[in-house]
Amino acid sequence: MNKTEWEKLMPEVPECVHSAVLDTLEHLEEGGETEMKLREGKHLRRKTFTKGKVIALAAAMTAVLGMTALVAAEELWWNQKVSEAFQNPEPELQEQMSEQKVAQEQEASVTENGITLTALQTVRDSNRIYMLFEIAAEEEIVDGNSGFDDWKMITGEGEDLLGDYFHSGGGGMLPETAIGELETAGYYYYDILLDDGSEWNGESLAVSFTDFTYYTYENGISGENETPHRIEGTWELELSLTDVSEMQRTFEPNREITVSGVPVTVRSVTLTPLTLTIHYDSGSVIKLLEEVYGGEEDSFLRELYVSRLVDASGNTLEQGYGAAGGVRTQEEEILTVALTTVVDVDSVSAILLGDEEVQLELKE
Amino acid sequence: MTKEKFTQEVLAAEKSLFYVAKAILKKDEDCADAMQNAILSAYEKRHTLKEEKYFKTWLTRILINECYSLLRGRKDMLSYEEYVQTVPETGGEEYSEVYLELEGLEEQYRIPFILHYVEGYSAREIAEILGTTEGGVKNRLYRGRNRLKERLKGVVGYE
Repeated sequence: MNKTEWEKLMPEVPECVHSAVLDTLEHLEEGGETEMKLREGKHLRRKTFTKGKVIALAAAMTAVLGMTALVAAEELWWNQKVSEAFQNPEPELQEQMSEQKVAQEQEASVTENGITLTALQTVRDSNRIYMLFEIAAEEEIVDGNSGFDDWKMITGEGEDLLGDYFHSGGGGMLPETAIGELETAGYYYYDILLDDGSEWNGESLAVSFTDFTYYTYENGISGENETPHRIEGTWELELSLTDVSEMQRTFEPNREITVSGVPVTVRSVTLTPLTLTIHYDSGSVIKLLEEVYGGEEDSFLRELYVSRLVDASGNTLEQGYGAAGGVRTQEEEILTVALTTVVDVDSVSAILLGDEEVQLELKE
Repeated sequence: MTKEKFTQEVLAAEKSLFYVAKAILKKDEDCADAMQNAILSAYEKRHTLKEEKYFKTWLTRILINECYSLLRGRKDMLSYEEYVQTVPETGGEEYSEVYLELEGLEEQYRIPFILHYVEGYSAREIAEILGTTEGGVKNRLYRGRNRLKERLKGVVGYE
């Protein structure tokens, strides 16, 4: 069947949908609620299901707008799955991160034994890299349980990213991938946080995945009833990364805050769209350990971890964090966290620490 | 892009947008909601569209994002699979049997199928819209076609 024949089989646009579209178009520049919310940068969610006669279009008003963006729309958009992973950042921030090469489209692809692995996008700074891949197969072997048995990530400098750096994070099939419904394609990700204060600004990363295991469920979906199948092979890709841009801000408050009744000195805070690193004076942290945690060195110092990032109006830009880690040196306690969304570093005005939400203003 | 031109382009694309939204959301009222949000969002960002010939593709991408945002807003209550199951399969005399079977395809096949066979997008264009690879799209089109064939067996006129 051709396109015209297919169109004949498709349903008509319902009156309620058509009316909603017309209503939206009519109010685009009328100064009504829709327009006001456009100016405030918010989206209006309205449900209009007026039936009956079609609303006539308002008389056209011409408004010539300058073409400010110089990149075609298609080039700015993040991969949808990456956008979802970071809770759908504002388009302007996505655009900025793309322009600064913090977010990069990838194209490398390799096929081995009927499985094609394609790198789609990376998002990175000097402490963290998020990678999204697509797995496509000739047979239905992909579900939430599928995955590679082993992996390596070697930097352009010959370092083993997962071996030579302390790190946290993880990867696998995207969390929303259903289990038990085998498909021919799916998405695979890795989110690595260098959590010991290390920084890596390399321009390439060779990733290799070994042996793909998938499961069949002849006897139902539960651990003991799943039947594993292995497809042997090695899938190697090289990710091309740009030298990390300066989409970061560093603050040096050198200020004392009081957490759990103990004064602790914050030496510096470094913020990128993806990560937050706080350097505390180790002497004051040790005092906190002694007074609150009985000197237990491995205690989790929840008072020192970020609770929220807020803007100048107190609006929450980020709540909580993902992977986190820390390192204690003779002079500093360095805590690094992966943000669950991406933040506009220029909008962050303060960080709130611990359950008590002790506020630390960020001023350069 | 002027408001007049924007309006013309949206109305020209209305049917296409509805097909795409319906492929994801199923409920007409949800389609209306997502289309409204997409139109508002696109209008706000119209200055970022460099070439007007890409308008429909661009708006389709925005719409797909809005559709998934709407679904995510319900994810606390229902998974996508549960959401789909709570929506009665559109029946009634106003839908063709072929469309009903197409509606029953899995989402990963249904959306590329509609974009290619109904809307005429190339595999490459679909890959850009969905943020995946051309190879992945071709794979899904092939699978979707075969699955639809299976579903249509027994439907009069499609043996």
